[in-house]
Amino acid sequence: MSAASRDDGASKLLSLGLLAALLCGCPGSDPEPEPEPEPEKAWQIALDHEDLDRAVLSVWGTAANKVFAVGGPLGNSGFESLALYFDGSSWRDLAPGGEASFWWVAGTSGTDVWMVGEKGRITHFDGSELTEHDSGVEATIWGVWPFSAKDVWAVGGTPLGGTAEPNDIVLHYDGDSWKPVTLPGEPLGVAHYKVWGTSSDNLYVVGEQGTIWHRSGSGWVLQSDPPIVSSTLFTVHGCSAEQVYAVGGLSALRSGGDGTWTKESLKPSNAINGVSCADPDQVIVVGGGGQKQRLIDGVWTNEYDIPPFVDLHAAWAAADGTFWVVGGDFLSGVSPNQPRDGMVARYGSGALPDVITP
Amino acid sequence: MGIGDGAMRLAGAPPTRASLLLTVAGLLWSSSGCSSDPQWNGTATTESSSSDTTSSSQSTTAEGTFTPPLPADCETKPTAIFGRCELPDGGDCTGIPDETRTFVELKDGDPVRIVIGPQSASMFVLGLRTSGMYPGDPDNPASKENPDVSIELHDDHGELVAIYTGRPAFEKSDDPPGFLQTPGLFVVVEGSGAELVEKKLSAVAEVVDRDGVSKCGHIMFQPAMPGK
Repeated sequence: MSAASRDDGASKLLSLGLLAALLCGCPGSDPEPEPEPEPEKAWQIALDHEDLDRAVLSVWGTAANKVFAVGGPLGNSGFESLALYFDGSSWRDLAPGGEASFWWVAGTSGTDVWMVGEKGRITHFDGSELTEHDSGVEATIWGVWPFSAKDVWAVGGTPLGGTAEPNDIVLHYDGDSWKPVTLPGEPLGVAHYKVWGTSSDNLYVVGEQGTIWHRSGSGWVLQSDPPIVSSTLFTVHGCSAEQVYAVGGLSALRSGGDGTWTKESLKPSNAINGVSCADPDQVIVVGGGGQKQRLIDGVWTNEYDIPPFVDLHAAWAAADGTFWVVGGDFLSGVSPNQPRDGMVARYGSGALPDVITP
Repeated sequence: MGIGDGAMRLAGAPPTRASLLLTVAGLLWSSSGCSSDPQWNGTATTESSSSDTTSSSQSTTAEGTFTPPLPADCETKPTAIFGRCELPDGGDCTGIPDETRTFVELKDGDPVRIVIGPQSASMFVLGLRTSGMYPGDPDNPASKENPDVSIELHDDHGELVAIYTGRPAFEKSDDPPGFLQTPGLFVVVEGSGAELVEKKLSAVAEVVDRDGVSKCGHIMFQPAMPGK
């Protein structure tokens, strides 16, 4: 066989091989598969008045699909407090017991979660068991924020109680017990609603009459002196020391961490109750009438005209752009044996079951 | 928050609603009297004009009387009337679902008491009565078919003190019959509300049902401290 014919035969073999490879789709010969488009996010109702008979007041998570939601009957006898956990595929009732509703939930991990609420209630969840703590107060604990297992802050008070009732409450947990913290100056006589910070040396407390306290390494400073707003500030939350929000009523304030606060260019469609910030581009403000305002490309966008339409009390933002919101009937008065509507919704993607298992 | 914020809220609503805004010059609280206009018999089904002759301006007189922005035709032909929500014992409604609520029609200058919520939010529990529109589903607060209701409250200096936007369903009224009403709308105000007691508040409501039928009403009322 001549060299030419060998070459010719080799060429044929090579051609046949290439053809076979193309026909049989051999590995390595395919172009890179196109990445599947990320599922589009949208508002979805997870649990509503058909699934819940108690209001949902707070939500917090360790990841976009792992969240805790708490609440309760708010004084309506015949119902217990509410604590739910969503693991990404199903809702589990943590069955915390007791009638004292939880107003807030926050943690450092799925095995270090704090729930606080009425009658001075402070409950810890270690991932498997719930443990009741002695707060030393009878007033409602409205907010909690932990930094570690031995560094947790909680705040509370008696709305409209002034100095005649337990107010100006700040508690600190050092891993052993909860101890009251005395703020400087004469008591203001205000209920504190929420606490948030990046560390115990950069901590914010907000409450009635537009109160804003800040704790740094050098102590507490009343940043709302002179007053910034007259409205009650229900929630404080931030993404960093340089991006902190405080909201309530018709007010949404932002601080860059320099001790000053400015009003956000946000047009409320109803009273504002909650704010959550995961990073500079993932911020949400919620309130009455299904108010859901997201900061999109630097512009507040209100999606109140997209369900859910019920009053929303709180939100939690995940870093991937998922937002959880909770609420229901938390404004009406107390009535024995009367259920309250509850709501848990998510701006996200993927399946969202509405079944709660014990 | 200033006067313009309220106007911007209304202007921020869907265009069909934004286009309803008209300046109503010379509306004084003491003489407006149209939310309880006896000429309106409650059977009106007027749909608001889609005219583009809109304005979001309003004015405050030297005396501090605020002229609120009103949807088109709202001054002369209000199609919704404001009320307050009363319990059988004369107390204020608290929003409990099974409470027996009575819609008490408001007339200009009537007092409306402040109600304190569980978390100390101060609110007015207002109601609206209208007719000739789709009422929504009273059993489903999440229904997309419930009417879109917006209410703004301004004080007599034009300061926006409350905004309510929600989707409450309307129920048929037995007394008087032929009306649709929603008696328990929580309109949360800034602050404790105590600072409002010496003021007069202007309330403007817009209602748009699933079919785009629009209703409106306005009233001036006197805030009062909580209690019977």
